[in-house]
Amino acid sequence: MKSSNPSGVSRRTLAKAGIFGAASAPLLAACGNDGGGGADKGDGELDFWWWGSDPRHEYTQKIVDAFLAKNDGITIKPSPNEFDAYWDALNVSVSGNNAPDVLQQDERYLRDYADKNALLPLDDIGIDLSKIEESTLKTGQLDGETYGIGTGVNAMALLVNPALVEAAGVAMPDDKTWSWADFSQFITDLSTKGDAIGNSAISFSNESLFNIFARQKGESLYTPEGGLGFTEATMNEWWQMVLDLRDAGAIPEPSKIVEAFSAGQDQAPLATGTGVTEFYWTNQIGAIQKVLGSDLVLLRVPGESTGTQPGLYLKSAMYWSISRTTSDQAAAASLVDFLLNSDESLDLMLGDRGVPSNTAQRDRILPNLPADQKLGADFIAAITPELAEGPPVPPVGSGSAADIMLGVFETMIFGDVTVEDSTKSFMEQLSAEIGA
Amino acid sequence: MTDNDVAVVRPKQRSSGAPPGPAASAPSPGPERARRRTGRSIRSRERWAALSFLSPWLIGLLAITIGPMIASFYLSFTDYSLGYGEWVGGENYARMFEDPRLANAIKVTAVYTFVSVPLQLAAALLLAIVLDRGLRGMAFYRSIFYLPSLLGGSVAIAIMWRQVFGTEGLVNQVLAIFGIQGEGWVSHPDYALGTLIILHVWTFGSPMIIFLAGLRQIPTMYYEAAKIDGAGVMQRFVSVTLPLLTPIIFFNLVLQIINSFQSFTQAFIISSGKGGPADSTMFLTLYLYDQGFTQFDMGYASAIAWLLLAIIAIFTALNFLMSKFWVFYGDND
Repeated sequence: MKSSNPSGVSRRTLAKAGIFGAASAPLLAACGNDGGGGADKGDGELDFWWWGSDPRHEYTQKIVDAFLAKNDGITIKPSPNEFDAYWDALNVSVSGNNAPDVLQQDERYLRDYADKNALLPLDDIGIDLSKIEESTLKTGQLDGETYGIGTGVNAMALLVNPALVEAAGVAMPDDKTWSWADFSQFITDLSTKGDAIGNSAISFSNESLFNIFARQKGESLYTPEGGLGFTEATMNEWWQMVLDLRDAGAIPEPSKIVEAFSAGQDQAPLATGTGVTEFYWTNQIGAIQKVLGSDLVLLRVPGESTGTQPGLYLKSAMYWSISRTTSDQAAAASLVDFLLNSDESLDLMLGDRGVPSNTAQRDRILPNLPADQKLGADFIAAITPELAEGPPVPPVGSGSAADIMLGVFETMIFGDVTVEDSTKSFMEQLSAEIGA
Repeated sequence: MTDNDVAVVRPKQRSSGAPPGPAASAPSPGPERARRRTGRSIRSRERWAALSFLSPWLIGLLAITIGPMIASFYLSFTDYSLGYGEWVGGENYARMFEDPRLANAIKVTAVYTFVSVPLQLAAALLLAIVLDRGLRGMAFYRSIFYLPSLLGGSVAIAIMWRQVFGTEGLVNQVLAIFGIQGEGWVSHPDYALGTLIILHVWTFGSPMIIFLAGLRQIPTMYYEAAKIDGAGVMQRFVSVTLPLLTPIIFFNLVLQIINSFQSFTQAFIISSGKGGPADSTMFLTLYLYDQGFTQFDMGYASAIAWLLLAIIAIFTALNFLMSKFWVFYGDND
């Protein structure tokens, strides 16, 4: 047989070469970089990272410009990002010793980063903390040192589309007295009487909402010692409620719940007008109203007055942190100070990063808030007197709770496992992650 | 310089001619030795030329393949996370035996590979045979059928598939015409992996092109001889085409198995990076990514990367071992 292969390389060799090349590729996927980095003294160049939506990117850039106008000799390289991509990028840059100097942090990951020595203690580096609310400051501390300063506070609320409630001919409940049973009845009525689905069910896998449910029973997602703080019975009850709602047709069929979850906030049923209610944090209202094009009503999470204590709490929306490897500690500190305490910053930020943690600034800007932010601020003002003591800070490793709960939830709603096994699976996986 | 160039291009003429070049101008060691020395220096100069032409590739190989491989191997024995890590010995590898999600990821990847690869190769071979008939506008058809291979791994197509196979997507709308109530093809744990397999089969273009080239290499005299002996279409395919194509089938098989073990993009997009619903599309690569980039566990992620390499190496070795029994190299015997 005449070979028409001009290279003279046998097919067998060719196959082997191709295979080696292809096989070596996956190893690139999981490699870090040990090289360089380190802290020089004060070069005045700051990398500044945050996540958010377009409006936030725009006003944050204006804050940066205002800061630069006041501070000669400092240059800032801003890197806005979207939430999920932000954490991938941050993980890689910290692992590679190129961490940004000033960065936004989240409750889920703050302690992981602090525990790995990636963050600078912020107590004595020239940031004025005197006006920052004490309870907010505490949420950013680990072993008595502050690794993140809360930008502002949020609360969880049930967002309701009043037009759709009216269209279904269902009466608006009294959120000061309603129980979880009332809530179930409410969304079942909405689904059966109206065209839109009563609740899109994308929050039943949210560990913060479950934490509120547990707190209403005098329990908590985590103990102050960093273990699991809820009983199996409580979580079984939670899952059973979800299955009952599914069987009653109050929430979408499981496939649609999965789709709604991966569609993201802007494409979720509440924002597109195909769902009547959903649980969100108060600083998300504005963005959802904008997509929906009409006003929403905020209701308290059910069960606040029917349990042993109210479960709602104020959560720090996000934190400002400084990397331990910052190239200019003084400049980084003055930027964080500017973000937290200056009029210029808060005039632009308003309530977008939560109702400001700086109490003097909070009082100053509250009257000037735009309508959508005012909804959230008023809601927080109304519930604050009712609140019980906040939950303990989540332990290191708690960042994985959301993914674990989502996995358990998805398996369960398709009817593959029992309520009891779902609870067991969640507790086992989360215990392993937090080392409890 | 000119002398050197000449030396490289026409080495044979130099041994008898005038003695240019640095080697020959050395203290005269007699004609025999001069020739040998010149030859050696030419060889070394050629080696350097070859190396310098290869250098972009070599630097790339060392800096972005071998280097990270070594780093990753080292990291797999540490608890490296967010810039800090300590030596933990074989702990990451021991952990694999008690990780149910890893076991699930291996299962999902294996099902995906062993269902999608045979289907994809069958589709590729079938189309290659159809396209081998020398139709008018062959180049056009070939391009059309190759197109999915270019698109299949892309983010845009994966996002489009999420829509097409959604509960209210195109597929279900078509099914509704026939009165069939469709499912959420990518959001139901029982179907999501199947949808990804279809997406993979759809990208049959590159094995198809290789099959086409292989078909062209089969001398027509074999077919003519078979025809004279009275073989039908089917018999000619089984007795002539298939045996002579086995090296190509083998090549495609090995390459596609490796490829599908490494699949990442489609599952990442369709499940928003979480391997869902309910871990039903949690490929090994996705789990590796999840451990490294979401759970901050670079050490364990590195160990999983080496596990993936080991799995691929084992299947490739098995493939080569088994090839002795079914692959027919015409030039071998």
